[in-house]
Amino acid sequence: MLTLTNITKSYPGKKNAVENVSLSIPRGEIVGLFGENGAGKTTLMKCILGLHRYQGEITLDGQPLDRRNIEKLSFATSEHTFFPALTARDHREFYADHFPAFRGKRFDALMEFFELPTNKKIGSFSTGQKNQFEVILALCQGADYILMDEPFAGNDVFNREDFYKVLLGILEPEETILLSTHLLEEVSAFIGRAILLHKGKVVADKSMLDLEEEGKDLMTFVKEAYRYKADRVLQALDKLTETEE
Amino acid sequence: MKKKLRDLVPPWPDPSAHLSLCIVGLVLCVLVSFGRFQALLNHAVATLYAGHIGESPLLEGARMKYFAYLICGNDPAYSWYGLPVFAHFTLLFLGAAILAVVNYSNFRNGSKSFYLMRRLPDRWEYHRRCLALPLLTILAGLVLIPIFLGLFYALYLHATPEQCLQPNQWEVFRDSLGCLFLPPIFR
Repeated sequence: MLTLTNITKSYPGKKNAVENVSLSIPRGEIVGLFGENGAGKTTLMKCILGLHRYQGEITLDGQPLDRRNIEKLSFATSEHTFFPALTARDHREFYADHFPAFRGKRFDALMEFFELPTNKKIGSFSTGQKNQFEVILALCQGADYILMDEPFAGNDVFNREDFYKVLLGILEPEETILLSTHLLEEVSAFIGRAILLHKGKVVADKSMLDLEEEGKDLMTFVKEAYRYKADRVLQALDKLTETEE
Repeated sequence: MKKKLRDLVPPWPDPSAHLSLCIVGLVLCVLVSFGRFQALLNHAVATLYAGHIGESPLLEGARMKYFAYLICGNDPAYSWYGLPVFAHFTLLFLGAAILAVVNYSNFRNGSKSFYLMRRLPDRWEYHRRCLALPLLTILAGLVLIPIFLGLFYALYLHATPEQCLQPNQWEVFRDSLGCLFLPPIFR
């Protein structure tokens, strides 16, 4: 269980990027983390990974997150964390050296499935291939909690669909995904829970089963949570037109 | 051995290139220092003789330049030799510091691989890979300098006729310590 208690992160001279966030994410869940740009999704993930200092407490199976258990978390981000000058084969070696639970077979299978070259520098890959490789590394590190921050930004729709299918196919019951994305409709079919952030705070947290029982889809839920005004655009257009007339 | 070296440098394709760079830097510094000291020493010894060294008699009352002055290159007679004998080590140390900065910045170049480095189970791995070789180069330089200082002093004593040796070598050397690495313009 990944537990966040009253996590607050502030940047100098700015309002809190994350404010009093408390969450529990049990093993085996696929959790969607949603929010507008600047809502605090990336900051929250970086706090979990220990890349940011923060106030509050984060524990993994009751233990504070530190060097002893950090390998149980992996991270895929559209900013990319691979070494551009190395090949996929070099990365395989590096990960196997540093992460004892590295899943070599899964790595080979995914590389083959996505037809990624193993002897080419990652820096020479296309954006889509880089994203694929980034996610492959996160999935193969052998982590129990896989954090993904906009991992498919720049991938085409077919490619993303392939990934969702593969993801569902290969994940083991203990593996947990925390996925931050703007592609609500695409991921609604395979996430089990949706957490919504707004201005650094959790504004909604609901399982997809509950949503189903309420007869709502993910998009409706998100719009309600954000109090999205559907007629906002029309009103703005009306005003604009009036001014011009 | 290769694996150990690989763990001391950033995970780039050719880890031995880093080591070669540092070794070449150290060897060049040693060779240049040695060559410069030899030239300064020969020049200083030549001023003791009326003609060719060893063939002609010593000039009356001739005195050898202080060892410290040779090392520091601060004798007005050698103005074009102005740099201290070990000045190139200063450049090497500067180069090593730059290498450390380059190592860190490369983890931000083309991707943010420092995120990965910072969440490795070994807390020091990131800094070790960035700093180990630059620090080892500086350390090697700092070890080589006193060794070569001793060697140069031995050569100085060997090349200088006993009657031309000046007294208080140690005192003058101690007073000149600040000039060991920096050219006159910085003193």
